[in-house]
Formats: sequence, C-alpha cells, structure tokens
Amino acid sequence: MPTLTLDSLCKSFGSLRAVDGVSLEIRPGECFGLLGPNGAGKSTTIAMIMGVLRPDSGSVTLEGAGDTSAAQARRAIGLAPQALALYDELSAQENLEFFGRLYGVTGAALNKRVDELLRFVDLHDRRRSRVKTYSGGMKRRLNLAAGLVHDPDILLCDEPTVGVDPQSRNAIFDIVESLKAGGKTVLYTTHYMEEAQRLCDRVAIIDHGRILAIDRVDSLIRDHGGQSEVVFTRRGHTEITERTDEPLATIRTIVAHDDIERLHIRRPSLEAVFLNLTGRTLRD
Amino acid sequence: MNPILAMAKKDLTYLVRDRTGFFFVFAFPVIFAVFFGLIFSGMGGESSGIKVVVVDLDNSEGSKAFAEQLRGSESLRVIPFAEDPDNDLSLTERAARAVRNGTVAAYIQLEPGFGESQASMFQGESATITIGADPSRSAESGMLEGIVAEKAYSEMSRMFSDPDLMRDQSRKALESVRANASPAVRMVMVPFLSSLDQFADGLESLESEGDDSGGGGGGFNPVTINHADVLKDSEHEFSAFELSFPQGLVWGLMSAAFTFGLSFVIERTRGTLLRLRIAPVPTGAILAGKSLACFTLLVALSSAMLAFGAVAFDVRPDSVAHLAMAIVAIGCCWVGVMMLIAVSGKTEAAVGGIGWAILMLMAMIGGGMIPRPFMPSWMETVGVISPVRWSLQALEGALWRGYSTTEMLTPCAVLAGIGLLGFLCGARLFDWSAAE
Ligand SMILES: Nc1ncnc2c1ncn2[C@@H]1O[C@H](COP(=O)(O)OP(=O)(O)O)[C@@H](O)[C@H]1O
Ligand SMILES: [Mg+2]
Repeated sequence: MPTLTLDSLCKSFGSLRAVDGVSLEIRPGECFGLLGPNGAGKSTTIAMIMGVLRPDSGSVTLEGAGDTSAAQARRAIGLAPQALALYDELSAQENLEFFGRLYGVTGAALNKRVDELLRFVDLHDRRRSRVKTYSGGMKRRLNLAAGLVHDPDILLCDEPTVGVDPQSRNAIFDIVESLKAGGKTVLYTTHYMEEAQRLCDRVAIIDHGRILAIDRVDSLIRDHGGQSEVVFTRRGHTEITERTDEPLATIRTIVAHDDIERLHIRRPSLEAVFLNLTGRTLRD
Repeated sequence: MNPILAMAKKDLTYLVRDRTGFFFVFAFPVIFAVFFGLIFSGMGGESSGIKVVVVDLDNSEGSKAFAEQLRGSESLRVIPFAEDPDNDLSLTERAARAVRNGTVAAYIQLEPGFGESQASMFQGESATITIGADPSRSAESGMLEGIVAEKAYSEMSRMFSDPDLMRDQSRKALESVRANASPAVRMVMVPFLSSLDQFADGLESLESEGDDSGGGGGGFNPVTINHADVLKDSEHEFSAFELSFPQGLVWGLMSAAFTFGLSFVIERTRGTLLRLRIAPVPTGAILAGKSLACFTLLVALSSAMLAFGAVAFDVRPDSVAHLAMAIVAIGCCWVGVMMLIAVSGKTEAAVGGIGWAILMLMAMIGGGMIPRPFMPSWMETVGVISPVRWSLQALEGALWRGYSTTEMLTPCAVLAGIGLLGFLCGARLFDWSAAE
C-alpha cells in the first residue's frame, strides 16, 4: 500500500494564501488527522490532493502512481467531500451504482460492492428510498460510502461529521474505525479536536494554511500541551488543583498524606496544544 | 421598524442584489418593447411588406406594366426573379419552390394573355392572375389578393381617365356584347356602353355596376384570381395543426435543452460535479454522457409529439424518412444549445435568467413568437443564427412543405452545424471547478 506525499503545497486565492507550504506524508494504514479551524485550508489541500485544483507550487504524489491527477492514482483514492455530493432524486442504491460505474465497476461485482457498502454504512433498509428523504446523518454516511465504491486504498474524509447529531456522529466514528481496522489509509479533516484525538494516529495542526505541528496525538500533547493538572480533595477540605510537568512525582507527593479522599489527573488535550501553538482556541 | 415594512424592505433589497432578477424585472421588458417596436414600425432597414415573386408568363406591354405596379406597392416586397437558362425547372415550378422554402410568402403569376385581356376589359376573358401562396400564411395570402385586385382596379381607372383609351375600350366591348352576351345582359349593357363616351366622371358608379354585372358574359371584372397549390403533394389536406405542432414542439425543445443545461449547473452547486471530475473518466465522456441523455430526450419528445399529432389531428408527414432526418438533426442542434445554456452562468439563478433570455431571443428572431414574414428583413437575416428558425423549417419541410431530400439537406445541415458548434464552444467554456 502506497504512501501519499504532499510537498510544499501552496495555493492563493487573490491575495489570500489559503495553503502556504504544506508538506506531509500519509503512511499506509494510518488514520491521519488534519485539524484546524474553519478557513484553515483543509478543503483546499484536499482539492489539490484530488487534482481538481492546481497548486501554485508544490506537488502531491502517490507512491507508485505518480501525480494524483492521473487516472491510476484516482482509482487508489476515494473522497467524501465536505459538501454532500449526492443525487437527491436517486436512491442510495442508485447513487452508489452510478458512482461505481464511473469507476468501471459493473455487473455482479457492482451489485456485491453496493450491497456490502449499504450494510457497512447501515443504510441497507432504506436503500430504495430517495436521498432527499434522508436525515443529515444518513446523507453523511452515504456520502462516505460513495467515496468507497471503487474500494480505494486511501479515503479522504473532509469534515464528515459537520451538521450531524451525536448518534450519527458515533456511527461515522465506527465506520472510520472499521476502515482503519480493515487496513485502509484515512485522511480525516476536522475542526473538532475530540474527533482527531479519538480517531487519528497522527495529527497535523493547520492554521492559516500552515502546518504548525505534526505528530502522534500523545506526543503533540506531551510537547505542546503544557502542564497536566492533578485534582485532589483532602478530608474536610475543598478540591485542590495542582499544575505539573511531572504528574507521577506530584501524585506520589500528594498521596504521601493519608487524608486524600479523591484524586484524578486532567491531562492536556489537543485544544491546549492548539492554544499553545496559535494563542487562540480552536472554536472562535 | 414595523414587521410589514421590514419584510418589504428585505425583499426589495434582495431583488436589487440579485442581478439576474433585477435584469428580468427592469432590462428584459425594455428589450422586449424595443424588439416588437422595431418589428411593427418596420424601421431599421428596408421596407417591410409581404415578400413575393412575380412570374410573368405573358411578357406583354400590359403584363410588364402591371408587374411594375406591383413592384411599386408599399405592401409588397417583390423579390427579383429572372429566367435562368441553366435551370430545367419551369418558372412556375421555381416560384412554387421558393414559396415552399419559405423564401417568399407567395408567387403572383400573370397568365398568358394577361396584357391582351386587360386591354379589352369589357369583353372576352378577363385577365388571369394565379396566386400560389404558402398555406401557412393564410392571413397574408388574403391580404395579397386584396392588393392584387386593388392594383388591377387602379389600372382600370387609369384607362377610364384616358378618354381615347376608354372610347376604344367601350367600342370593342360593345361589339363583343352585341355578338356574344345573353339578351338580358345585352339589354343592360348596350345602352350603358353606348353612353360611356359621354361619361365624364362616372368612375365610382361604374365600378359598382361593374361588380353587379360581373357574372355576365362580357363582365367588368378586370381580373380573375386563381389559386394554385404550391405543395407538391396536392392530396395534402392542410390544417392549422400542421403549423401548431412544429411551433409547439419548438417550445418543447427549448424547455428540454434548458432543463438539461440547468442540470449541469445543479451538478455543480450540489457538489456532484466534483465526484464526476475525480472519477477516472475523461471530461469529454462526462459531456458526451449528458449530451446523449439530452439527445434521447429531444428525439423522444419530437417523436412522441408528432406521433400524437398524427393520430389525434391527422398531421401526417409527407415523408417519414425526411421527418426522421429532421428529428435527428434537431436533436443534434438542441444538444449544442443545451451546452451553451450550461455555460451561460455559474449558478442556477444565473442560468435561469441568462440562459432563458438567450432562448427567448432565439425564439423571437427565429419565428417562434411572430412569424418570420412579419419581421423586418434585417431581423430575418439575423434569424439565420436561430435554431428555432431552422427547426421550424426542417419540421415543416418534412411535414407538409414537401421538401425533396436535397431541400431537406440545407436546414438539417445547418441544425447539425449549430449543434456541433454549440457543443464545441460549450465544452471549451465549461468550467469544471466545483463551487463551494
Ligand atoms: N474558490 C475560492 N476562492 C476564494 N477563496 C477561497 C476559495 N476556496 C477557499 N477559499 C478561501 O481559502 C481559505 C481556506 O479555505 P478552505 O480550504 O475551504 O478551509 P477549511 O476547509 O479549512 O475550512 C478560506 O479563507 C476560504 O475563504
Ligand atoms: Mg473545509
């Protein structure tokens, strides 16, 4: 399975530098998160990966297939765009069949694949209903399935949980996790740090078109998250919060007193990482 | 602010900010008004008038003078039409063909003996004129007959105002009536004709008496107007549906092309265009697929509508093969138009405005709103770019104008050409970027 490499990608719209020197490597089988606020340049980056937007400079290469605007590379990549890209007047099944045929999947193979996908995203019961009758969450799931019809090695999910209720969001997490379990490579963009934290092996933090940091989630937190907080209560006292770089040592000191009633650690989150890197919160 | 006022203000702001909406409310009516004003005032070029050709089979002094009179008429536009030694067809056949082609509304044929009969209008056969009019233009052919009769009568009054000529005429007529007419006619006519010399200003009374006695042997009718059938297949029963079906179909074609053109834009705004683009399919194939669907719809629509016309209103084509040819050419043409509509704007609102405006314009100049012969000639000339014009010509040619295969080739080739050009321009201009 190939590696997808982005090298110094740049794209400006007029005077706005939407993507400003993005370099990263998405490795086989990993779930890679691109985390950044609205307008950070995530969708623009994805458009350049798909070859639908020409970078001003830089390149995107898929190992073994070359440039991603080539047909061979396109077959290896699937996309679930941020904007729902479905035919409202067709049913889920008809949508998937149509997109499958665009990728040259036909006949029994197509039927099998569509059936599989409908079950995978839990739309099999409603497969014959027109998409316009679906809830937001169902449309999101179908949008994901449509990116998978040709069984690509790599799936790009652009904010797949936007406008979705918590239950559907969990369903989408499950889908992404089973893709990961099935060995697929996933690029997952989001502005929800909990999602990145929960789903992604590695995360790139992007703001104003620039990558500020790339690493495993725990490493990012360790390097940029700042201090952990140890919260404890002594018998007969109110809650005390102590900030520390060395939670283990701090806890040892605290529990040396035997009047500790309760104690827990608050580890820093990606939110804190973002705050420390940009001076802003993710949702402003 | 009061909620009613707030609502009103919001909606007006909305209208002003929506450029296409604004265009349709303020600019389009002005264009419309100017367009029809130009047509009805006949300005912007040479005089309007009914287009005709004159076929002079008599070639006498009298017939030449009469043809000259017709040429001088303000209500007619006489298209020059001369002998062509290279052409095997008779003048009449060529004239009929010009009518069938829609080049002219009618031909006016001055029959042999026209000059002679006119010179002796009170006796013998009256001068004969044959009018071969386009059956689709019955209103004009009625008008045309009036104009021709008026010219003939004014020719007569010219004779009456010339004393020598009149004396000569009445004497000839007198001889003829004495010799041939029935006793009853003779009783009225002889005294009348004898006293003609003394008639100083009896023109009006003469004309009315002339009408009354027109049925008699000698008669005062200066002209007899016959009608010729210009359609090849004279069996063909012409009905109003032969006109209304092609016209109606053209509006259907416009709607179909518009709907499909708009569907391209909807693919963009709904994001599915992005999926089409990232699929390993050449963009040409995507355009071809959409075009194939549009072509299928156009052919199905045309076939269904004409089949309905045939069954329900007896609109039978002269030639099914020619009709099939027309339908295929029309399909190609309107696919091209569809592509142009698809690139006429980026949003549904823009295409709904601009694309539809283009179609209206094509309908206007192509004869979809007012028949071509009523247009000033410059507009008819501009109309050659309109697919509406050529679609109507191809359909009518196959349905009832009795076009030969060669005659069908012109509109069909033009339609295919418009289709190809539209497709290539549309494909070239198509913006594949997906709006977000
Ligand atoms: N087609 C475009 N024309 C002009 N500006 C654009 C266009 N697409 C995106 N942008 C701008 O580029 C920036 C990055 O956009 P985008 O990549 O969509 O951000 P994200 O997906 O991270 O929310 C934003 O400021 C956006 O307004
Ligand atoms: Mg985005």
